[in-house]
Amino acid sequence: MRQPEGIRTGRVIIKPSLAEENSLLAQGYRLVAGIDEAGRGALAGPVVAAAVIMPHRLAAPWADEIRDSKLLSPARREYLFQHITKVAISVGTGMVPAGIIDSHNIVKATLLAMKQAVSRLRRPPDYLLIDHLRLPDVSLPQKGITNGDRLCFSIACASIIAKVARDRFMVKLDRVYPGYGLAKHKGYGTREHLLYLQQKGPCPIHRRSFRPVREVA
Amino acid sequence: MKRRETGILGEKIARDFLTGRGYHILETNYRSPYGEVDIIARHQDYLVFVEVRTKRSLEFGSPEESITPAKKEHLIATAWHYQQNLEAPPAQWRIDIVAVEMDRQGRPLRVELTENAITGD
Repeated sequence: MRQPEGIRTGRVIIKPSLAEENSLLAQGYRLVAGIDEAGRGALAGPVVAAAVIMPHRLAAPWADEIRDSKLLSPARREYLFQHITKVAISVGTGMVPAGIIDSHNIVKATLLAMKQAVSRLRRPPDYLLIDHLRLPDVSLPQKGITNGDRLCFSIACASIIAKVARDRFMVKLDRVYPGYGLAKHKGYGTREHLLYLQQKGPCPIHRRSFRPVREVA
Repeated sequence: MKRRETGILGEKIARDFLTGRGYHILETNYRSPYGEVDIIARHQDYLVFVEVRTKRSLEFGSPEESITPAKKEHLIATAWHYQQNLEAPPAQWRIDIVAVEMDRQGRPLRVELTENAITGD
Protein backbone atom coordinates (compact mmCIF):
# COMPACT_ATOMS: atom_id res chain seq x y z
CA MET A 1 0.00 0.00 0.00
CA ARG A 2 1.27 3.45 -0.87
CA GLN A 3 1.71 5.45 2.28
CA PRO A 4 0.17 8.89 2.56
CA GLU A 5 2.45 11.89 2.73
CA GLY A 6 1.87 12.49 6.45
CA ILE A 7 3.28 9.15 7.47
CA ARG A 8 6.37 9.42 5.33
CA THR A 9 7.31 12.91 6.38
CA GLY A 10 6.07 12.63 9.95
CA ARG A 11 4.97 16.27 9.75
CA VAL A 12 1.28 16.16 9.07
CA ILE A 13 -1.09 14.33 11.39
CA ILE A 14 -3.43 12.50 9.11
CA LYS A 15 -6.85 11.23 10.02
CA PRO A 16 -7.46 7.49 10.04
CA SER A 17 -9.84 6.54 7.24
CA LEU A 18 -12.56 3.97 6.65
CA ALA A 19 -11.02 2.93 3.32
CA GLU A 20 -10.18 -0.62 4.46
CA GLU A 21 -13.53 -1.10 6.22
CA ASN A 22 -15.50 0.19 3.21
CA SER A 23 -13.65 -2.06 0.80
CA LEU A 24 -14.31 -5.07 3.06
CA LEU A 25 -17.95 -4.06 3.33
CA ALA A 26 -18.16 -4.03 -0.47
CA GLN A 27 -16.72 -7.57 -0.44
CA GLY A 28 -19.51 -8.70 1.87
CA TYR A 29 -17.79 -8.64 5.25
CA ARG A 30 -20.10 -7.34 7.97
CA LEU A 31 -18.21 -7.60 11.27
CA VAL A 32 -14.73 -6.19 10.81
CA ALA A 33 -12.64 -5.98 13.97
CA GLY A 34 -9.76 -3.53 14.37
CA ILE A 35 -7.00 -4.78 16.67
CA ASP A 36 -4.15 -2.99 18.41
CA GLU A 37 -1.99 -3.28 21.54
CA ALA A 38 -0.72 -0.99 24.27
CA GLY A 39 2.32 -1.31 26.49
CA ARG A 40 4.53 -3.29 24.18
CA GLY A 41 7.56 -1.15 24.94
CA ALA A 42 6.93 -0.58 28.66
CA LEU A 43 9.39 -1.87 31.27
CA ALA A 44 6.65 -2.91 33.69
CA GLY A 45 3.13 -4.24 33.60
CA PRO A 46 1.20 -6.23 31.04
CA VAL A 47 0.80 -5.87 27.33
CA VAL A 48 -2.87 -5.18 26.62
CA ALA A 49 -4.71 -5.67 23.34
CA ALA A 50 -8.14 -4.59 22.21
CA ALA A 51 -10.40 -5.76 19.41
CA VAL A 52 -13.21 -3.43 18.36
CA ILE A 53 -16.06 -3.90 15.90
CA MET A 54 -17.53 -0.52 15.01
CA PRO A 55 -20.87 0.08 13.27
CA HIS A 56 -20.72 1.00 9.57
CA ARG A 57 -22.72 4.17 9.63
CA LEU A 58 -21.45 6.40 12.34
CA ALA A 59 -22.40 10.04 11.94
CA ALA A 60 -21.13 11.17 15.34
CA PRO A 61 -19.09 14.34 15.77
CA TRP A 62 -16.60 12.59 18.07
CA ALA A 63 -15.81 10.03 15.35
CA ASP A 64 -13.96 12.82 13.60
CA GLU A 65 -11.57 13.01 16.54
CA ILE A 66 -10.50 9.36 16.44
CA ARG A 67 -6.72 9.09 16.12
CA ASP A 68 -3.98 6.70 17.11
CA SER A 69 -4.01 6.79 20.94
CA LYS A 70 -0.43 8.07 20.98
CA LEU A 71 -1.58 11.28 19.29
CA LEU A 72 -4.27 12.03 21.90
CA SER A 73 -4.18 13.51 25.40
CA PRO A 74 -5.27 11.26 28.29
CA ALA A 75 -8.45 13.32 28.72
CA ARG A 76 -9.30 12.98 25.01
CA ARG A 77 -8.66 9.24 25.14
CA GLU A 78 -11.03 8.84 28.12
CA TYR A 79 -13.69 10.86 26.31
CA LEU A 80 -13.36 8.79 23.13
CA PHE A 81 -13.20 5.53 25.13
CA GLN A 82 -16.64 6.30 26.58
CA HIS A 83 -18.09 6.97 23.14
CA ILE A 84 -16.48 3.98 21.42
CA THR A 85 -17.63 1.50 24.08
CA LYS A 86 -21.15 2.95 23.94
CA VAL A 87 -21.67 2.54 20.19
CA ALA A 88 -19.38 -0.40 19.37
CA ILE A 89 -21.00 -3.60 18.16
CA SER A 90 -18.48 -5.44 20.31
CA VAL A 91 -15.31 -4.73 22.28
CA GLY A 92 -12.89 -7.31 23.68
CA THR A 93 -9.65 -6.88 25.57
CA GLY A 94 -6.77 -9.25 26.23
CA MET A 95 -3.92 -8.99 28.70
CA VAL A 96 -0.64 -10.84 29.08
CA PRO A 97 1.36 -10.10 32.26
CA ALA A 98 5.05 -9.30 32.63
CA GLY A 99 6.03 -12.81 33.77
CA ILE A 100 4.70 -14.32 30.56
CA ILE A 101 6.32 -11.57 28.47
CA ASP A 102 9.64 -12.65 30.06
CA SER A 103 9.12 -16.36 29.49
CA HIS A 104 7.62 -16.11 25.98
CA ASN A 105 9.07 -12.86 24.53
CA ILE A 106 7.14 -9.69 23.78
CA VAL A 107 6.07 -10.56 20.25
CA LYS A 108 4.49 -13.87 21.30
CA ALA A 109 2.92 -12.19 24.32
CA THR A 110 1.46 -9.43 22.13
CA LEU A 111 0.00 -11.97 19.69
CA LEU A 112 -1.50 -13.89 22.61
CA ALA A 113 -3.07 -10.73 24.05
CA MET A 114 -4.55 -9.96 20.60
CA LYS A 115 -5.88 -13.48 20.26
CA GLN A 116 -7.49 -13.21 23.69
CA ALA A 117 -9.06 -9.88 22.72
CA VAL A 118 -10.62 -11.45 19.61
CA SER A 119 -11.95 -14.42 21.56
CA ARG A 120 -13.64 -12.09 24.04
CA LEU A 121 -15.70 -10.32 21.37
CA ARG A 122 -19.34 -11.20 22.02
CA ARG A 123 -20.11 -11.02 18.30
CA PRO A 124 -17.58 -13.15 16.38
CA PRO A 125 -15.90 -11.02 13.70
CA ASP A 126 -15.61 -12.11 10.07
CA TYR A 127 -12.46 -10.13 9.27
CA LEU A 128 -9.53 -8.75 11.29
CA LEU A 129 -7.59 -5.55 10.61
CA ILE A 130 -4.46 -5.57 12.75
CA ASP A 131 -1.82 -2.99 13.40
CA HIS A 132 1.36 -4.21 11.83
CA LEU A 133 1.00 -7.93 12.71
CA ARG A 134 -0.98 -10.94 11.59
CA LEU A 135 -2.33 -13.55 13.98
CA PRO A 136 -0.77 -16.80 12.77
CA ASP A 137 -3.03 -19.30 14.53
CA VAL A 138 -6.34 -17.51 14.07
CA SER A 139 -8.19 -18.89 11.06
CA LEU A 140 -10.20 -15.72 10.27
CA PRO A 141 -9.38 -13.69 7.15
CA GLN A 142 -7.13 -10.85 8.23
CA LYS A 143 -4.77 -8.12 7.15
CA GLY A 144 -1.84 -6.58 8.97
CA ILE A 145 -1.53 -2.88 8.16
CA THR A 146 1.70 -1.00 8.68
CA ASN A 147 0.90 2.14 10.68
CA GLY A 148 -2.63 0.79 10.99
CA ASP A 149 -3.14 2.70 14.23
CA ARG A 150 -2.74 5.97 12.32
CA LEU A 151 -4.34 5.00 9.04
CA CYS A 152 -7.28 2.75 9.81
CA PHE A 153 -10.33 3.90 11.78
CA SER A 154 -11.13 0.58 13.50
CA ILE A 155 -7.51 0.00 14.50
CA ALA A 156 -7.28 3.56 15.87
CA CYS A 157 -10.41 2.85 17.95
CA ALA A 158 -8.77 -0.34 19.25
CA SER A 159 -5.62 1.63 20.11
CA ILE A 160 -7.70 3.93 22.32
CA ILE A 161 -9.48 1.06 24.11
CA ALA A 162 -6.21 -0.81 24.71
CA LYS A 163 -4.42 2.28 25.96
CA VAL A 164 -7.16 3.42 28.35
CA ALA A 165 -7.74 -0.12 29.69
CA ARG A 166 -4.02 -0.58 30.31
CA ASP A 167 -3.54 2.87 31.87
CA ARG A 168 -6.40 2.24 34.30
CA PHE A 169 -4.83 -1.04 35.34
CA MET A 170 -1.40 0.55 35.79
CA VAL A 171 -2.98 3.04 38.20
CA LYS A 172 -4.35 0.06 40.13
CA LEU A 173 -0.97 -1.71 40.06
CA ASP A 174 0.62 1.43 41.51
CA ARG A 175 -1.43 0.85 44.67
CA VAL A 176 0.00 -2.69 45.01
CA TYR A 177 3.55 -1.76 43.97
CA PRO A 178 3.97 1.81 45.17
CA GLY A 179 7.10 3.91 44.92
CA TYR A 180 7.87 3.51 41.23
CA GLY A 181 5.46 6.12 39.92
CA LEU A 182 3.56 3.52 37.88
CA ALA A 183 0.35 5.58 37.96
CA LYS A 184 2.22 8.41 36.29
CA HIS A 185 4.45 6.83 33.64
CA LYS A 186 2.40 3.59 33.29
CA GLY A 187 5.53 1.46 33.32
CA TYR A 188 7.33 3.19 30.47
CA GLY A 189 11.05 3.92 30.80
CA THR A 190 10.92 7.57 31.84
CA ARG A 191 13.83 9.12 33.70
CA GLU A 192 11.80 9.04 36.92
CA HIS A 193 10.97 5.35 36.49
CA LEU A 194 14.60 4.42 35.77
CA LEU A 195 15.70 6.31 38.85
CA TYR A 196 13.25 4.47 41.13
CA LEU A 197 14.20 1.21 39.45
CA GLN A 198 17.86 1.86 40.29
CA GLN A 199 17.07 2.80 43.88
CA LYS A 200 14.64 0.01 44.70
CA GLY A 201 15.36 -2.74 42.20
CA PRO A 202 12.62 -4.41 40.16
CA CYS A 203 9.25 -5.48 41.60
CA PRO A 204 7.23 -8.54 40.50
CA ILE A 205 5.60 -6.73 37.59
CA HIS A 206 8.84 -5.51 36.02
CA ARG A 207 9.86 -7.20 32.78
CA ARG A 208 13.18 -8.77 33.62
CA SER A 209 13.87 -9.68 30.02
CA PHE A 210 13.99 -5.97 29.12
CA ARG A 211 17.49 -4.57 29.32
CA PRO A 212 17.02 -1.56 31.65
CA VAL A 213 15.35 -3.90 34.18
CA ARG A 214 17.91 -6.68 33.71
CA GLU A 215 20.74 -4.26 34.33
CA VAL A 216 19.50 -3.33 37.80
CA ALA A 217 18.15 -6.76 38.78
CA MET B 1 -33.43 -15.48 54.61
CA LYS B 2 -30.88 -12.73 54.99
CA ARG B 3 -29.09 -11.24 52.01
CA ARG B 4 -25.73 -12.78 52.89
CA GLU B 5 -27.24 -16.24 53.36
CA THR B 6 -28.95 -15.91 50.00
CA GLY B 7 -25.59 -15.07 48.44
CA ILE B 8 -23.78 -18.04 50.00
CA LEU B 9 -26.53 -20.43 48.98
CA GLY B 10 -26.58 -18.97 45.47
CA GLU B 11 -22.83 -19.51 45.13
CA LYS B 12 -23.20 -23.13 46.18
CA ILE B 13 -25.98 -23.69 43.63
CA ALA B 14 -23.80 -22.01 40.98
CA ARG B 15 -20.78 -24.21 41.83
CA ASP B 16 -22.82 -27.41 41.53
CA PHE B 17 -24.33 -26.18 38.28
CA LEU B 18 -20.92 -25.34 36.79
CA THR B 19 -19.35 -28.62 37.92
CA GLY B 20 -22.19 -30.43 36.17
CA ARG B 21 -21.38 -28.45 33.04
CA GLY B 22 -17.75 -29.60 33.03
CA TYR B 23 -16.18 -26.63 34.83
CA HIS B 24 -13.28 -27.54 37.07
CA ILE B 25 -13.37 -25.17 40.06
CA LEU B 26 -9.94 -23.74 40.95
CA GLU B 27 -10.78 -21.03 43.49
CA THR B 28 -13.76 -19.59 45.27
CA ASN B 29 -14.08 -16.06 46.66
CA TYR B 30 -10.76 -14.96 45.22
CA ARG B 31 -9.81 -11.55 46.57
CA SER B 32 -7.61 -9.04 44.79
CA PRO B 33 -6.78 -5.53 45.95
CA TYR B 34 -9.52 -4.38 43.55
CA GLY B 35 -12.36 -6.65 44.49
CA GLU B 36 -13.54 -10.22 44.65
CA VAL B 37 -14.50 -12.81 42.08
CA ASP B 38 -16.87 -15.56 43.23
CA ILE B 39 -15.47 -18.52 41.29
CA ILE B 40 -12.39 -19.19 39.16
CA ALA B 41 -12.62 -22.32 37.04
CA ARG B 42 -11.15 -24.11 34.08
CA HIS B 43 -13.53 -24.96 31.26
CA GLN B 44 -12.01 -26.68 28.23
CA ASP B 45 -9.01 -24.50 27.36
CA TYR B 46 -10.54 -21.42 28.98
CA LEU B 47 -9.73 -19.90 32.32
CA VAL B 48 -13.10 -18.62 33.50
CA PHE B 49 -13.90 -16.00 36.11
CA VAL B 50 -17.47 -16.36 37.30
CA GLU B 51 -19.64 -13.72 38.87
CA VAL B 52 -22.65 -15.19 40.65
CA ARG B 53 -25.77 -13.05 40.80
CA THR B 54 -28.34 -14.32 43.23
CA LYS B 55 -31.80 -12.96 43.71
CA ARG B 56 -35.11 -13.91 45.09
CA SER B 57 -37.86 -14.09 42.53
CA LEU B 58 -39.79 -10.98 43.51
CA GLU B 59 -36.91 -8.60 42.89
CA PHE B 60 -36.91 -6.78 39.60
CA GLY B 61 -34.43 -6.64 36.75
CA SER B 62 -32.22 -9.33 35.26
CA PRO B 63 -29.12 -10.33 37.23
CA GLU B 64 -26.96 -9.27 34.28
CA GLU B 65 -28.44 -5.80 34.43
CA SER B 66 -27.49 -5.50 38.08
CA ILE B 67 -23.78 -5.28 37.24
CA THR B 68 -22.66 -1.66 37.43
CA PRO B 69 -19.80 -0.25 35.32
CA ALA B 70 -17.70 -0.02 38.51
CA LYS B 71 -18.36 -3.69 39.32
CA LYS B 72 -17.43 -4.57 35.75
CA GLU B 73 -14.12 -2.74 36.03
CA HIS B 74 -13.39 -4.47 39.35
CA LEU B 75 -14.11 -7.87 37.86
CA ILE B 76 -11.82 -7.25 34.90
CA ALA B 77 -9.06 -5.88 37.17
CA THR B 78 -9.39 -8.89 39.48
CA ALA B 79 -9.22 -11.27 36.50
CA TRP B 80 -6.09 -9.45 35.33
CA HIS B 81 -4.63 -9.43 38.84
CA TYR B 82 -5.06 -13.21 39.16
CA GLN B 83 -3.21 -13.71 35.90
CA GLN B 84 -0.23 -11.58 36.96
CA ASN B 85 0.98 -14.54 39.03
CA LEU B 86 0.39 -17.44 36.65
CA GLU B 87 3.39 -19.29 35.31
CA ALA B 88 1.66 -20.32 32.10
CA PRO B 89 -0.90 -18.13 30.40
CA PRO B 90 -4.30 -19.57 29.60
CA ALA B 91 -4.89 -19.96 25.86
CA GLN B 92 -8.09 -18.05 26.39
CA TRP B 93 -10.01 -16.57 29.28
CA ARG B 94 -13.36 -14.98 29.83
CA ILE B 95 -15.77 -13.73 32.48
CA ASP B 96 -19.10 -15.57 32.83
CA ILE B 97 -22.15 -14.72 34.85
CA VAL B 98 -24.29 -17.30 36.57
CA ALA B 99 -27.70 -15.99 37.53
CA VAL B 100 -29.41 -17.89 40.31
CA GLU B 101 -33.01 -17.19 41.10
CA MET B 102 -34.53 -18.87 44.13
CA ASP B 103 -37.74 -18.93 46.05
CA ARG B 104 -38.24 -17.79 49.64
CA GLN B 105 -37.19 -21.20 50.94
CA GLY B 106 -33.91 -21.04 49.04
CA ARG B 107 -34.82 -23.54 46.35
CA PRO B 108 -33.43 -22.73 42.91
CA LEU B 109 -36.09 -21.62 40.44
CA ARG B 110 -33.74 -20.77 37.62
CA VAL B 111 -29.99 -21.09 37.01
CA GLU B 112 -28.71 -19.41 33.91
CA LEU B 113 -25.17 -19.22 32.56
CA THR B 114 -24.03 -16.39 30.29
CA GLU B 115 -20.62 -17.18 28.84
CA ASN B 116 -18.26 -14.31 28.09
CA ALA B 117 -20.74 -11.94 29.65
CA ILE B 118 -18.30 -9.18 30.50
CA THR B 119 -15.85 -8.00 27.90
CA GLY B 120 -13.66 -4.98 27.45
CA ASP B 121 -16.42 -2.41 27.23
